[in-house]
Amino acid sequence: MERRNFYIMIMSIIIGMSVFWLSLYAFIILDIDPLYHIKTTFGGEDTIVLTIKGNVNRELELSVSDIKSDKYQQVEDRTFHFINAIGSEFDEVYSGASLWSIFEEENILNEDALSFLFIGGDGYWAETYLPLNLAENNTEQIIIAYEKDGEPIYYDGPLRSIVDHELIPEKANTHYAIKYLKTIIIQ
Amino acid sequence: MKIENIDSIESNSKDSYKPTGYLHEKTKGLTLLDLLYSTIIGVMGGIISSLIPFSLLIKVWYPLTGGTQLVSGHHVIWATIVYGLTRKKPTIMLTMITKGILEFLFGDPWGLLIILVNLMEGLFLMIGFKLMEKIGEGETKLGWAIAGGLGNFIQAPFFWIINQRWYLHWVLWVLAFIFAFISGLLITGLLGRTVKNYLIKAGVPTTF
Repeated sequence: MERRNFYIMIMSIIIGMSVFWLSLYAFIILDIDPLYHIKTTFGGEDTIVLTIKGNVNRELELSVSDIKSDKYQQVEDRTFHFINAIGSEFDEVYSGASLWSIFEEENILNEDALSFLFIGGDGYWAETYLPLNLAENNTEQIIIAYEKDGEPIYYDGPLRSIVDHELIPEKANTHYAIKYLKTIIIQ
Repeated sequence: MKIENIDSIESNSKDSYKPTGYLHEKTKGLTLLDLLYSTIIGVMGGIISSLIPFSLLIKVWYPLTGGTQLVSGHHVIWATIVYGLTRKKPTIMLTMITKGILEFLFGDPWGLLIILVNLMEGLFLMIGFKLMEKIGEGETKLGWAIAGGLGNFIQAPFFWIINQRWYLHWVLWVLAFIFAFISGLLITGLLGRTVKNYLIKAGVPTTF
């Protein structure tokens, strides 16, 4: 084997092994289910897709059909305002269940619970925890969305967290619109 | 006097029969065909990059954020193909700016910034090819792969920094950058070189 080809092989092995171990590390550390997208794509609406855990009296698991049920306050075709990290502004129309109505209906929050954090199935999480009273005082502006423009969220879903920019005017609220929403941690 | 006259007639006749066209060896600037290749392939790239969600190919089997960088190389492959047909580095920039304008016109969420990103990718691809030529790998698969990797890599840190994703785990950053480089190696570099070879074999005229 030529020396040049040997170096190419060594570099390929190093890159391949780095990707393998880093991916494995990410799956374990960030609690990522490698089959999440397959389950949500082929599992139907009754598959468990969202878990609420942390400072709660019991861990709550919800499917898309649970989120859509009349048990929770439904927000339909509401226009949300977004600003991204470079200051571009745009509006999008989402339907979903009010986050606070889920907390309230299930009565899962401990008395000392203060804030919540959205985490996606791909390891992406929201920029910071948001105070629970923000969700309590603005029930229609923080939602767990399952429809965009009247259609199920297929590409970025099945669930996506949505926070209107009005509630966090000093931040890019696109950092809180978590695709493939999988977990809500209560602190 | 007589000799001078003959010279002037000869020089006049040279002027009137000056060879032109893309096959003329002494052409240093861009030919019409170079410009056509750059714009037509740039427009194709802009349309395809804007309208086809290639990331779906990754989403079903690789769940981590940043994994879609594995297909990002298709954004720069157009410039590699044009460079293969023309062997003139300015055509890389021309292709990328055409593609960037198309993406902007199709309503890219990054707005005008997407043109800058395309130019940056083009610039790094040019630097990659230049470096590879210097170390004698300008024509090899390895050289094309590394140049492609360099060209495609740069957009990943740019987007992640401009998105201010400081709060994400460092592993996701590193993986996204590695994937951008691998995608550049395989799609921009090697696939681009293969497509270029097939185009030439099929009879598409080169301009070098």
